[in-house]
Amino acid sequence: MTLLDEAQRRTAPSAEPPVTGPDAAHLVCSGLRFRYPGAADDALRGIDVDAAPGTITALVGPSGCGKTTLLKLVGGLLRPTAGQIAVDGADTTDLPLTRRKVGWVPQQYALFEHLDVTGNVAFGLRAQKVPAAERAERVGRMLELCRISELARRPVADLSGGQRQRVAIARALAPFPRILLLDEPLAALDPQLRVQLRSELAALIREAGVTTLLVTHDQEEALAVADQLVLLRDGGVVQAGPSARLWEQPADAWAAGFLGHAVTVPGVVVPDGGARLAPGLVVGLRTPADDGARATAGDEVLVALRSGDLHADAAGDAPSGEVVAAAREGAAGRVETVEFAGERYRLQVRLEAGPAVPAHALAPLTVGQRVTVAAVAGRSVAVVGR
Amino acid sequence: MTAGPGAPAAARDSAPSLPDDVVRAPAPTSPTRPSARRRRRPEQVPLDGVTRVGRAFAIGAAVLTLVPIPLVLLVALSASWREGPFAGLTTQWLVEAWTRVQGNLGVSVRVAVLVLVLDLLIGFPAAWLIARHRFPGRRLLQAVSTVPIAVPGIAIGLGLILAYPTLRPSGVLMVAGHVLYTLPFLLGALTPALGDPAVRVQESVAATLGAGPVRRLLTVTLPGVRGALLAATLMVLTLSFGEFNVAFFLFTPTQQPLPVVLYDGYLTGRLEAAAAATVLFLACVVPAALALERLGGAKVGQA
Amino acid sequence: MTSAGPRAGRRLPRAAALGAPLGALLLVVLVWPLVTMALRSVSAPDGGVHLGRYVEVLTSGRYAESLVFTAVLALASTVLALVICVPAGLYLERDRTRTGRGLAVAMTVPLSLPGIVIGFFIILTVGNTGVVPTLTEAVTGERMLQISYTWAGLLLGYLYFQIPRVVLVVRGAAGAVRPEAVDVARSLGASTATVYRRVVLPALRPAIASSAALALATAFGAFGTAATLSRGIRVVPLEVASAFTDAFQPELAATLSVLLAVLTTVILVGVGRLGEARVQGRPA
Repeated sequence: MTLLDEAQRRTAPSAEPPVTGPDAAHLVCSGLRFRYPGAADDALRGIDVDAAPGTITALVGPSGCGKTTLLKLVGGLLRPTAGQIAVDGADTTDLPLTRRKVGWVPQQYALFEHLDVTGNVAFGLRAQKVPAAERAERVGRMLELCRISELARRPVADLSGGQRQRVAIARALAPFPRILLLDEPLAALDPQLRVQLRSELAALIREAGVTTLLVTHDQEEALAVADQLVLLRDGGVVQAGPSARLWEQPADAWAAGFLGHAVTVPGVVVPDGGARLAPGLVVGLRTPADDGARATAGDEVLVALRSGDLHADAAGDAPSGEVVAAAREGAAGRVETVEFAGERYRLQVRLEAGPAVPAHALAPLTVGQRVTVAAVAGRSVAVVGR
Repeated sequence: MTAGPGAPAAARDSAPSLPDDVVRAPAPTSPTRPSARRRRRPEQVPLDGVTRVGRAFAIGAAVLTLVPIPLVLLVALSASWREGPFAGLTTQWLVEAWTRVQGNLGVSVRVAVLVLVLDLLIGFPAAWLIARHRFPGRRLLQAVSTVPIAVPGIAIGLGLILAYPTLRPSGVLMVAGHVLYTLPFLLGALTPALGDPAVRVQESVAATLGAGPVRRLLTVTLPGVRGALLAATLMVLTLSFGEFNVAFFLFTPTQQPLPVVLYDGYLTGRLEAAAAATVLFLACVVPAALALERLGGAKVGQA
Repeated sequence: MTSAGPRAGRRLPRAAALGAPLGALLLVVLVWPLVTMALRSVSAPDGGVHLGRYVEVLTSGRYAESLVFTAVLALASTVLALVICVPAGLYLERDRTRTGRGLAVAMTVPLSLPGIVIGFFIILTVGNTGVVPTLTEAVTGERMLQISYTWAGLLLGYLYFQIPRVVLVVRGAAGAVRPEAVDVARSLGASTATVYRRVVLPALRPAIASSAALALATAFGAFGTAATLSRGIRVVPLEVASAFTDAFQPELAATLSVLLAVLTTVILVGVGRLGEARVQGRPA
């Protein structure tokens, strides 16, 4: 199952009425700038984010790109040097933290260790003076939503990582926040648990129906959980949009490299719409981004190759994979690296024509071995520049 | 979803490391998870030459530090130490010591509590400031507030009596001296606790949940630093309770703290009487010291 | 860091009020008394300023001798404490069993004991009617180890309060030496001696320096232990007390106090710095 499949398989926001409050908010950030006191440069250089009501937006990028800073600006933990944060059209930029109605789930969850699960979840309701009867009822609903009802009276010190995450989310959701902010919600968990819990996390947020911003450095997690990605680098937005579009049409070589570890190689557009990377090696091209930059035959372009796009066989063998019929001859090259990846082998192959390309193979190959590389049928690659 | 959506979350979460095909027990309903509460018995690690010598030294040092305590008790209970250790046991010395020093014990307790209250009133806001704000002069303030550790207690006492001779009869100077002398220890315990990022993130979360400053202080900050607060409290109480060097010039004849009477006894009294008074003192201080050790806080007073 | 916590780092004028009580206390109870003391120590009978008392103190037989004796006592007890506590601290950090933890607690008990009580412990164990002499008399007919009021008794008392101070710091630093670093050094063929010389001791150097500084400063300023134990042996803090109470010469007491305070402060700052400088200056 590829990431793209997972992203497309996801269902639309639940049709059932959301658990947290009457309606989800529309978050619009415009021109957000931020500079840490004493720093020479802006940590954020004019960020725009538009998160539709009830959607999950992932802020994704390498460490130091400003994604956590952006989350803190939206949450009111930092004040922007310039720009505006509007929730349902109302400017919240200068609202104090206590009146912003954001639900914040920090990286290590920051549970109140001296309280039990109920005490944690009820904290915001107490602070906002919700009457006891209503409070108990709402806490009960939150625990149910997060599937931790049986933990209600447990001290939080006893909980596992996954349970702590749920308590933190229940605590954030209980006062009906307009926006839910999650800072690396899965980073504190074991790798195995992380994969399992990320789809459950997405399901839970969708059930709650709250507009959510989520920070992650893990592109796979972002694709799996979010409706929309905001790809950040060095304090600026590289690309923003629906997850599937960022995957299929990365804005540039860096974006392609970050999402799915694509390798960028030069090619020439051929008359039937593909791109030739080397003599005998033609790959299919995706519909280019809707900016009118359709490539025409003869154009020199850069294409983004991911490891599943090309297939390699030992030289002289008949093609074993599902390669493109039209390109059966393939391009010759030598194996530079081999990595066992379970059901297949991941290779880097140096083509005789020059570029090194990622490819996969079904049979074990050895470094230095001569191989023939061909495009996999049904796969097409994106143009990321020319 | 990859895992069975019907299974209760706790059953999956509580055993994250088990492979999927292991049949899992239902979620434990008891509040204690056996895996979390099971004490791992630390194993003896092999020692090399240096640490073997270290063990011998540690045993020697522990004997040196511990042996006097039962000996004090032994002498305090012996009917007449001069006639040797086998002259019989009595509680007479302890009873006498109690009637003799209970007034002084009261003075020491009152001073210690007063010192603690003043320390908290002065030290808590100061620790907050030092831990959470960057301002010019911060390092200077920190440095100056640790000076009382460096300056000998006798010099602090002398300075106070020379600067404010008329205040001596009121007993104010002794309290002031104790506050000065104990405050660095309180700051040392509270400043890192208040600066702990974990506590500060909890406060921020509380603020996003709508809690105002007072509620944050009472329901998040104080519980978050309670370990350090308790350690600081015990430290200040025991330091003030046993303080002698600063008090030497400053106590008033009508308000003699316990250490002053102990000192008199050491110079002039019978060994048994001095030992008995010391037993009463140790009975107050040693439990606090052990509790402090459990809290992981240690303190370094003057000798 | 301004990022953590609501509005951290802003609004200094209001926040400064938090430090006002501490500032006032330090000014009134620390700075002004020390200034007063310093002024008294240099005040001439005619109202002028003179440094005569310092010259007098440093050249007089009695006080110079007392200074030297205090220094020797402080140094000897510090060195002994280091010799005992560096290996002991390394051991305590390694042994996490009940025995190890028990020994660690036992070694830190004296921290909460005032100097006079420590002095009394010495009197009680090795004093004229102390437990050891009494017991040896009962067994051998001869009173042995009657040393409480001698320099050896003083040294023992000083050692008693130095041990916990040094072991605490060394143990903390020993805990920060990564066991893997030691294992790697061993796997590279280093002998135990080399491992300690090249890996462990350099890592402990700052802790050894700062605990030595603390121990030295404490020993220089120690009053209670000496007051209880000293008969005839006059360490500087005792001279301060007797100059003020017996001779009633506050100016002389102030002079000695200033000397002592300067000495302990210089030791604490200076010796502590020594450790840092040595570590930073080491070639990679």
